[in-house]
Amino acid sequence: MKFSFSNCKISSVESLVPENVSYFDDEIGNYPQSEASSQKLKKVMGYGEHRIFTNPVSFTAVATQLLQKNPSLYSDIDALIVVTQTPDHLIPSTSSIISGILALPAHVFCLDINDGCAGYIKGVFVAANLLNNPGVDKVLLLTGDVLSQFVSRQDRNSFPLIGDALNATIVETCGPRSTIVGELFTDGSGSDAISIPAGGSALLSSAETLRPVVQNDDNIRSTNQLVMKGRDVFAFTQTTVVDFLERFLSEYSCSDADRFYFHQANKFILEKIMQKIGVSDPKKMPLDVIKKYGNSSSGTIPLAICLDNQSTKDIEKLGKCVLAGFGVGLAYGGIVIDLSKLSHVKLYQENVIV
Amino acid sequence: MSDKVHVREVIRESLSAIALENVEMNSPLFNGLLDSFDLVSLVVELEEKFQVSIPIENVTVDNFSTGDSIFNLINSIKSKQ
Repeated sequence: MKFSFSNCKISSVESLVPENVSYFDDEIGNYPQSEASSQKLKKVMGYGEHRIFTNPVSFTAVATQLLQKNPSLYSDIDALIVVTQTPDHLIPSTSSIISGILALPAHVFCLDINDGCAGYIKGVFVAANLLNNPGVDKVLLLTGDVLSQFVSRQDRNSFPLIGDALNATIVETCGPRSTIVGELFTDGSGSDAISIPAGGSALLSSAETLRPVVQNDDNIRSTNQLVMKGRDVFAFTQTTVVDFLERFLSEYSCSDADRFYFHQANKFILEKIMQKIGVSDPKKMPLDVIKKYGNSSSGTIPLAICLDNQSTKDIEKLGKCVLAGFGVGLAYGGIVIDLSKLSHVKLYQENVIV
Repeated sequence: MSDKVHVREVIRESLSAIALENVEMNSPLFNGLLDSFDLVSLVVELEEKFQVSIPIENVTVDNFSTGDSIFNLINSIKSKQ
């Protein structure tokens, strides 16, 4: 699906990541595979360190702590969208819970979207759509996961990759010359490539689903924990995503973009994508999120913006930027947006005690 | 064009580096031997040893199905350099 919106902008992005750093070298002993093969993967995939909360923590607890940093930014929102795969509960929606905690007026529209890697693109799309309605001028988009609690520490396919992070983005109305164009797709035939099989209505949690099992690939996990079919995900990224990005960047004339903020899947695939789309300046396509923080699903794109600003301090110079996400679903999409209207960017690194 | 014996030897070394010792050049590598993580490790190993860049569209199961198919891929890439 293609879409285009005028009169809207992203004005603020804030991110919160755990202060706690977990190092791959310290985790190698947990994995059933040999240390030599793990060291090789460290280099290839960019496994170095990632941020995970050390204590059980809910999406809402992290969101509340983040939103308390600059409450004036969020005091007059007309809608709240939560994009996460780690909601507080099956029922009720996390956006409803946060609405209650923030004491939002009842007219503030609340919506949960269950999505990961392409979730930020979907969230911006829905937010921009909402701004077309009378009386809706400002949307708060909360994205990210506290996924480490749902991943086996003995699963080398998944645990070294993931990171916890949560982001708050403001999408709001502005002058007519500010546009967002983009595309979103879903190939549901690959929906089991990244999943948590148990815990939903298709497979209820039980003593059996909670039991850790040695898998064919030697990793140890239960069916209540994240499973990533590496070959399926790799084939999807290497064919569908790369073809999409090539066409998308050409069709929307993105060669002059200031930044390519792409979902941070892993170092190998991002570097290959960089080569393929002809981005030679590493500053234009930041890869630091996967190296320093891990893959936080719908959190990686806004986190990349925050981290980029922290290191370059030149966010005010940004113009045309390309944002793209791809993964669970299997969903993929991108937007082209003028980020010159982005006036507030902040990254917080702290733990959340509940 | 690379020397065939040398190239085959380097491919054997690369396979060995990802714990696939004594694999014949015509052995099917995706028949339980390689997973996607091994595949990306092998790509990087080959890129370093042959000083080539393997484009992402070439990182396919077909191109890495056997040592012989890797040999053909490397030769094809080197011949275009």
